[in-house]
Amino acid sequence: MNNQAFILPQKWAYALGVAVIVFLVAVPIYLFKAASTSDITQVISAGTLTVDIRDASRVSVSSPSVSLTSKTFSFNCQSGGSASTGSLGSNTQRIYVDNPSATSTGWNLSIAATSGATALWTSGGNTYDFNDATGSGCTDGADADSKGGQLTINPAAGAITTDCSSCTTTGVSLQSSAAFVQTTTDSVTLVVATSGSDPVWRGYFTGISLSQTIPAEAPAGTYTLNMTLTITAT
Amino acid sequence: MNKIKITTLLLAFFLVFSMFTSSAFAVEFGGIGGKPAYPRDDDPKTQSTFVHNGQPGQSIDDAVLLANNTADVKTLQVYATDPAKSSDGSFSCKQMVEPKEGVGAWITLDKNEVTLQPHTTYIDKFVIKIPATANVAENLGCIAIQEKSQIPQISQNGIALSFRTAIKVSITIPGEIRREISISDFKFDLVLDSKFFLQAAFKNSGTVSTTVKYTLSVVNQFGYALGPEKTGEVTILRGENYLLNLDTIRPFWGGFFKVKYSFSYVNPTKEDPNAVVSQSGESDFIFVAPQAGALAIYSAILIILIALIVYILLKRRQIKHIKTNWVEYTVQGDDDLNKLATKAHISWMKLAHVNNIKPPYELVTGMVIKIPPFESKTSSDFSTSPLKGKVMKKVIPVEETEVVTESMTQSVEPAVVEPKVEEIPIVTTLPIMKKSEKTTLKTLKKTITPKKVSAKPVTKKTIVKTKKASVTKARTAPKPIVKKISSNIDDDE
Repeated sequence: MNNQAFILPQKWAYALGVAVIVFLVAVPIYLFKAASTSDITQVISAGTLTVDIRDASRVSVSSPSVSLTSKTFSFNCQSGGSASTGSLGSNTQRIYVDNPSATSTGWNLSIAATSGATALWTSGGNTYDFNDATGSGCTDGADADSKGGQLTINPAAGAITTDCSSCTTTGVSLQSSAAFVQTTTDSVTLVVATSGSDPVWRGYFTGISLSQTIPAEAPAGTYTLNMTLTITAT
Repeated sequence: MNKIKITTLLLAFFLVFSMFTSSAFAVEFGGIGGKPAYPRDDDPKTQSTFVHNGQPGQSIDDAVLLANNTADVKTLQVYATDPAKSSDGSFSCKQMVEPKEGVGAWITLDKNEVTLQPHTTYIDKFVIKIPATANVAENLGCIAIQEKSQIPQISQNGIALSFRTAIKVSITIPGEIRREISISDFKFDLVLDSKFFLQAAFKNSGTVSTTVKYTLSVVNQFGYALGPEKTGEVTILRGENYLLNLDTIRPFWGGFFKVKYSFSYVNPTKEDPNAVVSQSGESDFIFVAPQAGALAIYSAILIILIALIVYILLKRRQIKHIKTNWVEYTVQGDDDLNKLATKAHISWMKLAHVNNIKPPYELVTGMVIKIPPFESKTSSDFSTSPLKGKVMKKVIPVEETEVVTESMTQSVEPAVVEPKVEEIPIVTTLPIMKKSEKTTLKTLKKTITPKKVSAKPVTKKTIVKTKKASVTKARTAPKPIVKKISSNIDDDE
């Protein structure tokens, strides 16, 4: 009768054996879990829909702003071709939208005054309005304040640029021109992405035109207005 | 030995752990934002919006996942607001400082300010307390997330920008839920020379927000589609109009176009919770102006057409003038085109053209051609033209035998003179008046008769008619005698 003795493996063989066993056990479990639950998928899609102002290197701009053309004091209303104009979104201040959520419900981007419908252009103690429709913004009357002035935004004049390899502009459209009117149009839609747009999308918008009617006899000064861009999943 | 065992086990644990949790370390990119913390598998919309059903007086617990996907520490402000309708009718949210009266006031967040390390998330719980007086319908609100920072200061005239992410909150209080979507209007809005917007105005007359799937196409008057169909899905708020903007290439040539549309939405019934309502139709024709290039081409064609019409009209008038005024002339032995044209003060080419005389432009004796009447330099009074030819019949003008002045007030029997029909030597022998003679007759015409003289040759028959008429008129009211002047004189004038 032959006596067979069990010889313990060497250290490295022992370690290798354990690793192989762990691997062989882990792979079927992994495959089974991946196929039968959705927990994994939920964790992966942790990105959120965001809007930001970034430069050409995709670095966030610390104090984003839009400058409007300076106008000289006038006893007449400065509207139409004489209005103060600007461009929302430039090469150095791009309106970036990231949608890594992989949901295909669409989103929209709008702009409104940070202080709400009662906001005013302010320069020290002087003010004028951004949402008074009376006389196409030239006179006061349509709202509660006693100021004239109206801001018109024309997103359609702008451009959409995608910034990811698989993104297209399909379903993403710049909206038509709109003017702020207190209580009626307190928010202007800049961009709408329908459910037909790419569920994972990154791109930016530039060249959205702004035109502010300056009421007659608006005192000279450097006027500013705070506005907020809002992105909402729909 | 134990050390090796521990190392190996740790290695194995890491291997297994990494296989199961690799997705947790997936690269997230973007800025700061948030989304529903607990989306439901049965409703894909809950991945991006808060959707709840509730009863008046009920409290609903939920949470928002806040994310800082930047490389910096960020302090986020989280707050609830009421909804706002944006310019195109789409959903937006009121600002943080604006008063809350609706769903914005129903929501209480656990934390309104959260500081997050780079690439970290935080689940912020909140409670929705539905008021006991809430109406049966869909009620909307927002939870907004933005970085807490000072409002950017700018030194120049302009707008300081902030940005935020907002999540829609939809709370439906069950009751009579009605979904009713219609298209109320279509219009084209030109924005650039080569681009225009097709705007379709959807109206939600129902009691809840409704998601609509649509297909739109623009066809011209011949039924050809202008580009591919536009398809998509929009959510239209309760009681609101939604202006769907689709940019389309502006047709170069312009023309009449109409929109063919179809849309559908889910309208659950007791029998079928997945019942779908579908509608289709088409708009009226809408005129789209051509692009600038096409407009220039159209204008050029129009100018050419107008010029052509003017040319044809002038040509016809010229032909009519020739037919009316030119006279027939029988070619004599020594006549040639150049000689006749010189005498008539016209170009020989025109003479040839009118008479259809082809190269080599030879005239044959006895040939009858048309030539304009002309005044001979050597003639005097009603002299005959130096052109001589065959004798032809010509009705000569009736001469007045009596001159009546305007001062006449009594009825006067008009003198009737029989027209003379006599043979004159040549058809081109036209009674050419001297200038003084013409002036006299002009004066006579002006002072005596306002009646226009007929260019028609006067015949005996017409004279009789004229006489009768004159007599009748003379019995009722005295009239000045109508002078009849030769058509040749008129024409000559």
